[in-house]
Amino acid sequence: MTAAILAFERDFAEQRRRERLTFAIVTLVLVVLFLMTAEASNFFKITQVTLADGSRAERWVLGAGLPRLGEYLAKTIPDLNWATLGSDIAVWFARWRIWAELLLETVLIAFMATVLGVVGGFILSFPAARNLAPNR
Amino acid sequence: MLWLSRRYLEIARTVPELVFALIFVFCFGVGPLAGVLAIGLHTAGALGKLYSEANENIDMRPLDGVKAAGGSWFDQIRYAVVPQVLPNILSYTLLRFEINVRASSIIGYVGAGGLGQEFRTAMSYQEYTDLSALFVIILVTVTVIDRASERLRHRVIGLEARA
Repeated sequence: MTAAILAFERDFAEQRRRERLTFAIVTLVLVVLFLMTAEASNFFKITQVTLADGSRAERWVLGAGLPRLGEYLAKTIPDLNWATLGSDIAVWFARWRIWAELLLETVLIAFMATVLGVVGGFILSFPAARNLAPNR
Repeated sequence: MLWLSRRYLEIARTVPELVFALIFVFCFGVGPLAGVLAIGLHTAGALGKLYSEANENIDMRPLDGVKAAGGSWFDQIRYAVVPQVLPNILSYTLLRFEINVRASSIIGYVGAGGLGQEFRTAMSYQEYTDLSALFVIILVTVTVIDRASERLRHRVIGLEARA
């Protein structure tokens, strides 16, 4: 009886050891892959920025660039005032006639493309299904 | 046959719509035709895969029944497979339509028709507020289509439940 328990304990410890080894290897590979990706995508790149007092400093690209995300978005926000809301919106959507036409065109393109895709995909889906493909 | 159709679908869906659009604009000139062909080809690839996976999950017994009654391969597909996969196909198709509305508003960027050309003008003339207006338009359109397709799908599912 005790021999069986001892054998079990030994196998269990062996299995645990193997699992830990696998975990360590996979973690190492993932970390290496992450560092390679970060390097390739300039994640750790250093860039120069001008501070508020005019002096230059070195920062990570991410830290230097993130505030500019808001800058771009802020530019796209139109000048709307509550008092003149109607005319402000009219200015914002001044090209609405062209846009409405193009929107119709966009939806029609999407519709036609969907029809084409459904026809092509529907026909090809039967020979491409493993259980239905003819003359296997 | 299996190999051929699978590779075709893979090629059709791995190449991005924009690349197809560029090629078709080169062939057929600027206009909606190039956009329709480009998105249509990509859609066929993506939907073909989804459909064929739906086909692989069906119950095979109706096929045996049709075959035992003397049906050909086409009869098996028509009377045993299609009725089983139709609801799946419908929901995939509606999802794809929604994706295509977005895709076709981008595809105009390379001259293949649609709202994308306005995006391009707005960006190159730095009309930043036009960008937000176009974004609002596309958001509203996609929302409307989403609601409409959900209603349509529920109606079809309701029909299934009653029948």
